[in-house]
Amino acid sequence: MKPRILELRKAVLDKNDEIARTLRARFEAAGVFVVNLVSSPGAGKTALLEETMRRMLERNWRVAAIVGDLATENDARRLARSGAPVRQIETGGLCHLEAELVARRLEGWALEELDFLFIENVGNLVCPSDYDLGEALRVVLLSTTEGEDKPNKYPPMFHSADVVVLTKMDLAAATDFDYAGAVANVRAIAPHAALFETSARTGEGIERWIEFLVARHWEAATAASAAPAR
Amino acid sequence: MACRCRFLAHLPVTLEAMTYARVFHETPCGLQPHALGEPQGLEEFKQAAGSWRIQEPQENRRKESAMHELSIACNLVEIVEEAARAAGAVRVTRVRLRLGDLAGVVEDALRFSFPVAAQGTLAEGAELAIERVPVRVFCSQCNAERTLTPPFVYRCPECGASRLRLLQGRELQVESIEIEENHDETAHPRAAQSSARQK
Repeated sequence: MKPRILELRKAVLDKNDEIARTLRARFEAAGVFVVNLVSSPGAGKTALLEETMRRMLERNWRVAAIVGDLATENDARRLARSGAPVRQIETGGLCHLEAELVARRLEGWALEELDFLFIENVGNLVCPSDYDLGEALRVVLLSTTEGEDKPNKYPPMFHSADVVVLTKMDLAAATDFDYAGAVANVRAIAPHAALFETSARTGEGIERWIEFLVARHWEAATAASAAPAR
Repeated sequence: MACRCRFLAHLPVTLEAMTYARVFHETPCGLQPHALGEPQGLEEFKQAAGSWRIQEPQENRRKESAMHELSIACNLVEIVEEAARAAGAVRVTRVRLRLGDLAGVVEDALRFSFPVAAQGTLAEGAELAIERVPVRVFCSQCNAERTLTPPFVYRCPECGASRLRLLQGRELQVESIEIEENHDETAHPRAAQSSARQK
């Protein structure tokens, strides 16, 4: 019997991309600026977010977070200390967040009442790069305690970043962090990405980073209101 | 365990998975062994596995990111099976996939994961034919297309400009599948007999 060939031409992650598109439209309609944070485990996503949200709340920004973790709720608990509403996605072994998981976790949340929603992805520099979550901004963290060649080792992730944040800058001297090398590597793999240097512990660079977020949110909001209705 | 990936949903069922769990501990995937449930004894493990194929752990090289490829493979099988079922297929014999060099998917790991994900589906036993897609960019300074090679430094290899437009290289796409349909003699013995009588 002759086999029949069926043309599909379908992206393997089609389903995820479609849900992500729907999410993005929802976020834009609600006027909430969504930031997807990714990095290897222990690069300081939670610490950066804790400090960022605490300061933004002080300025009356309405911020919230969704945290993806394989098994524990530790990060969600830490983030909740900032005073912001936090929801947890326990992925139960899945090494990245998918759009559907985020969509499900959003149920019953009034997005219109938020200015910023941070999504803390599962600590991983490989898998999350393929999964669009409908975010406006993808932020990849690189800590000074990691090798400065991380961008070269994980080009798909760094290439997909809108922003690269160097974290734990207060430890740079102690770890002999090759700052110039790291910046050169980021610039080489992701020349389009905005670059920030922060330390959640000393507060270094956090203000600039928040200003950037606010500016991008403002840009997105004005672009959306200026766009003709479709 | 609450997981959308069919394979992971059946954990702990294969030794491979357990092996991954340990390997992953030290990888960027960051998967911790406890995330896959309490490790069990080998015998209980084989029993729990039931009809699932058990492979003794052999070599763990190049499987660092296989958990990712496993979930990719599950997505792939889902798409393939849906299309095959809609077309009335009884079996999928080949899956043709385009895989970009910047897709973030390790080919070997995907090849390894595919049969595992395909078990018990119409795609079981199907051949996975992978066509690699090189990273091509358009350099506006040279006004020409260029190919980037690992580590995919985002610069024109000729003039060094970084104002590039990505043309291809992030593909992860099922091109086509080859299916067998339900009108062969073994599937319809009576139909086969009657056609034999007519001859």
